[in-house]
Amino acid sequence: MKEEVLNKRFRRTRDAFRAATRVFRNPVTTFGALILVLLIATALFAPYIAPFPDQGRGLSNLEERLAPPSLRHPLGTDNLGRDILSRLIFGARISLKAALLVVSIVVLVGVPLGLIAGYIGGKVDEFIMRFADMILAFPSLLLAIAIVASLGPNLFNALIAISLPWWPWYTRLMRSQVVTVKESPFIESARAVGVSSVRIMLRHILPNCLSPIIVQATLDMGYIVLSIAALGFLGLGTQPPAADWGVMVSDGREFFLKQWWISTFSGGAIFLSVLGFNLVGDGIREAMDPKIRWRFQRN
Amino acid sequence: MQPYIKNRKTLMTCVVLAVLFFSFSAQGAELPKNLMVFASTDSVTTWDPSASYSVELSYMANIYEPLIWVSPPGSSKPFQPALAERYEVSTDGLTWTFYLRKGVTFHDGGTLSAKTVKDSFERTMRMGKGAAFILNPIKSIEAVDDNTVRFVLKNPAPFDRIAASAYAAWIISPKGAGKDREWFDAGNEAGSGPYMLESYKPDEEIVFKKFDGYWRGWKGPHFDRVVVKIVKEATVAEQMLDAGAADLANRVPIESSRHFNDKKCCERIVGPSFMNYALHLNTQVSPFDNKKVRQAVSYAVPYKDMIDVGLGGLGRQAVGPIPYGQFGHDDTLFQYTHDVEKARELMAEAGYPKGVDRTVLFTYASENAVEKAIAPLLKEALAAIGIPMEIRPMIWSAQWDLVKSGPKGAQDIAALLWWPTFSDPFETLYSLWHIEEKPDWNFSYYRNPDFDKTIKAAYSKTDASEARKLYTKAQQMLIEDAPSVFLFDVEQPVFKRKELKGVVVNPNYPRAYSWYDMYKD
Repeated sequence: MKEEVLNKRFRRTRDAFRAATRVFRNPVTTFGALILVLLIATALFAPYIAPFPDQGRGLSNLEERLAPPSLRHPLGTDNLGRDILSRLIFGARISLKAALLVVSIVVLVGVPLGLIAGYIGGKVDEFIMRFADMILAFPSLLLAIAIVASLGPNLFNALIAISLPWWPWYTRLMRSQVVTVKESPFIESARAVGVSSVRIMLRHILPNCLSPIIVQATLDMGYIVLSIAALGFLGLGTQPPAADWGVMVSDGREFFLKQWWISTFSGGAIFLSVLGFNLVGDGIREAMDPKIRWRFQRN
Repeated sequence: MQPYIKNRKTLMTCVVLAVLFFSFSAQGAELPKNLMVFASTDSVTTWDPSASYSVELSYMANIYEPLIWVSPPGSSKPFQPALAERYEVSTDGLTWTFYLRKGVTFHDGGTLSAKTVKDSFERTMRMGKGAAFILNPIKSIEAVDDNTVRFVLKNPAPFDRIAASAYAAWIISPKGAGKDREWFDAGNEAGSGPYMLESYKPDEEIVFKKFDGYWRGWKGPHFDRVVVKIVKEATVAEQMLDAGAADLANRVPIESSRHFNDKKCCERIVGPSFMNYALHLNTQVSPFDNKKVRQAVSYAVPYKDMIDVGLGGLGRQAVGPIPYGQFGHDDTLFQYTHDVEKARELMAEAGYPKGVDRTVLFTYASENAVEKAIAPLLKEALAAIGIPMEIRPMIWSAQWDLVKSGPKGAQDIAALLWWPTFSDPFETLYSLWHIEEKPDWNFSYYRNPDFDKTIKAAYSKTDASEARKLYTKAQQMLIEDAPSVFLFDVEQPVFKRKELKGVVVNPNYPRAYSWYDMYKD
């Protein structure tokens, strides 16, 4: 008995380890992960890393307006003389926090609904899925813009506005998984021994449907960073003086011909973080997809 | 689902990148001498001359003409004749007689007569849109004979300045006066000015051609065609000028504007404008119901830095609410300086030595780049005297709705760009600070019966120096009570190729330039 438990534990760790090595055997994925680790580290330690933390938070420094990149300001300064590097570092906090929040919201809303729709079926399924379809009928960014415009532009409203048109993707994804899994023999046997529906859903179906959700969530993080930046660019997201990459790109537009560093570096930051999330997301998907898993198997 | 998501992602990336790189798309071509291309930021909100009350003035002023024009500051005469050759006013200031120019034809073939003028004004008054309120003093309009029209007023008012207004005073052809707004907005016009509307693509391009029958004639160098390219992106406008794809532009990036005269091809002309910016403090709600706190804010604002960052240096700190150059402006009025120590003292006297424990709300029109640029500076300035502030940009119409819902539960500070509809200080002082039971333009909810009495007395004076004295007194009250922070008067730049000549800036007609006077050599 004891041995069995040990064995089980060992097997679990071993499987997780194997999965991880599968994911990171691909050098492109490792590169993406490296970007993300860097990004998360800068966000966490922003006040210690940023050369001018006060300016990163928004304090103006009018003596050094629009200074080109130099040793003192490696990426130059903006219209109010603030160090771009510090602004980017503090901007990482906002982008990551926002992406994490939105993903948690959409997963927490979308996944349970999908689980219920798929498992219970019938009228409940119809109701949830038609409602989801209705929301999906609107272009998501357009709907987000409309929502922010009516609620008033700030970061919190922007997050809500992005989450609202987004959760149905997870409901649909989850439902399609649940519908396949619930027909499997092991669910049937669980039901035969009298396990309750809730327990079946949570203990047997949910864990078996999670991998596509994880892949989707990772890929979506990048898209959310981009959406937040887009709303910020349009003046509908984060409000100055807080640092936001999209706002910085937009602010730099006015100076783009002569002071190219404002828009370019902030655009670069958006690009890198989206790239990081996409590479890692793709890597996880390939590692989890049985159809292409053979590529990673040892000869 | 996967490929779809990917497509959306690509699309989004493209949108962000496209805006960045759009600026590289200016084309290079030499323009012929009889054609002018004007890169303008101003869209047309309506083509109806009776309802027009916005930036389309830039084009209206070249299609239509008023009875008389207000001259730019520094001219020998205050007015220039247009469709009226001269005018008379009775001694009581109630009867104004205009003698019309003979032989003026409209673009549609109609001819100018006293009835045309009467019909035009009556159409504007009947519609009651835009700036029609400035015609409120009119009691009746009478066509004495074919070329004489008489206006009788209910109360004395400076009707010459009203007749020369940039809005609501255009003369419309006999045919046009019978049409409704839809007809005009379909891209039709009924003016008598030098240029006719040839084609109109909303937010893209407007083409004008010269009107052969124009009463001033076409001797000397003029343009046969004027093409307006509506360019919202300032960097694009600058590149069009650099490449010779445009002759005139009304906006380039602020930082480029500063060094614009270093260019070989182009130059910047800076003229006065009657536009000014002010911050309006909510005088009915704590902490700004306290005069000392309001004065402290007036001392805390870094005027010079704001002019530098927001306007690229093109402006000067305001002296009172009436801008430099306008009738009623008084240079000797008291001017607050940027003095943080003094501001802190006032805060302590007001009972806030440790600052205010409430976060005040600052709103500005999100369309306005100047207000956006100065918002962070204001936040820092108020933080320095212990007033925490939240910045909330709002679409202009939403900001105005919030103001109108006040004073309780509305904004604490509102930024407002203001310019007079016609060149009399009464309109500015009355609209912005007279007691309103239902807030409309009184953004500070200021209530001072003495002030109301003073400006009304000033408006009914036909003697200019007496009126001026009363306007000065009224402005002193505003400066002492400090319901608003008078930030800065804007200087209006316009950017042009060096070969373009004859560009005149007249602040009475903001952003409108007379194309008839321009030519290339």
